[in-house]
Amino acid sequence: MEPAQILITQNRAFPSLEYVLQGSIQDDSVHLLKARLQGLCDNITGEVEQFDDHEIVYTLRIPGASSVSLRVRYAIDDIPNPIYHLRYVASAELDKSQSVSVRQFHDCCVTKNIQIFLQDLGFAYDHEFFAKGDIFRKGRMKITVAKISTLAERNRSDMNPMAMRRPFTNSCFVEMSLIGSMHDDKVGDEMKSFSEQLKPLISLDKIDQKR
Amino acid sequence: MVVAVVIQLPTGSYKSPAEAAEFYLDKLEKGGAKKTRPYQVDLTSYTSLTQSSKVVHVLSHSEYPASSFAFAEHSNNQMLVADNTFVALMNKLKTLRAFEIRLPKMEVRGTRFEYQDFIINLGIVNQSQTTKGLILEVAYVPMDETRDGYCLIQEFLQSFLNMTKPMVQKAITEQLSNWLRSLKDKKDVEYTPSISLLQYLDIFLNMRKQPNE
Repeated sequence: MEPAQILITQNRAFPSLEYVLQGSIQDDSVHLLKARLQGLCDNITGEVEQFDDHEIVYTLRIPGASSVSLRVRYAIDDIPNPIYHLRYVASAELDKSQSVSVRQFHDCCVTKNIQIFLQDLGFAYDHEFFAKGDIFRKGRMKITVAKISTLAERNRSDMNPMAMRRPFTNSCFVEMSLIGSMHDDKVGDEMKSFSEQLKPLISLDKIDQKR
Repeated sequence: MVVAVVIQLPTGSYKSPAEAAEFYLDKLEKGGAKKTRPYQVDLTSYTSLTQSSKVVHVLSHSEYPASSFAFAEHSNNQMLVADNTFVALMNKLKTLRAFEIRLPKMEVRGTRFEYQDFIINLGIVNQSQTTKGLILEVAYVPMDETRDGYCLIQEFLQSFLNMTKPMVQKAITEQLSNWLRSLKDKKDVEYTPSISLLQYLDIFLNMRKQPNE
């Protein structure tokens, strides 16, 4: 088969799962965690990769079923021509046998008219936030340490969006994630054992979002 | 860079679209165009279950294998271009009962030709096992200026397939003629592959309306 056709047939079904552990750490101890992660992760010699993202969440209410949210994300450093990222993340499956939370996951890059497109489809603006921080990688794992902030006021075009950020809390959000294709117990163990190494500083756990 | 014209080829004087396809294939090959690989375009339409049956058309084209093109009906919006994983996302929304596939899928299967700087795609349009017609896409690769590209392609069609100028002008889709008209007083507007896909969509939607033969 032609490579083009293989790609076309491949995209028909692409089940992805995201394995996640989450936690938080106070601002005044975050430098300790970062130093520890820098020592443990793959990027020992190089500089730590940083990110500064803006995420806008759109929700569609489905009558007689639970609503669905899609997340549009782009990097603020890429302005004026950022790449927009569209993401669907299901709520985590709370499988007792798994040591980490597992959630269904779909993502794709899209053109900049995505926000109007979603509104055309009936999606309504839900909320938005900024995440700024560092990314660490360890093998297949990705660990982000981010400061989450919100917009002080929405729809004030006269103000610089950078200046209106207000941090949610005085702690940082830490997430360890791994994208795999199917249920794989080894992944959970791999993540859990790595999180053990961060234990004195932070306890990363599977979080029940419904709680 | 590319400028492309997509038209539905007349099949009236042949027994079947397949026979007409044979005729055009033969003509292209005799003219010196080289067969390169299979060609395929697909259209799946998702009907919204939440918003008074709004329809989202998702197209894919073998010339752009890593991309999906999505268009929300009845909006002045441009086409959304996404990774081909967008299809998986739409299917997810389908399983969540936000959308359903109510309209039949359409697909084009055919052959891709190359003739110097032109790419010619010729294929038969099927709507769930029923043949709806013949489609031809002629793309001129080294240019993205629509008007000049269109003129070149028009000449190509005249000399290669013996179509007369009025025939070509009649055959082009509303999408393309609107686009050409909108360019009248603008400069430096690039042609993008989404415009090709909009031309396909135009033809597909017209074919869907036609009763099966």
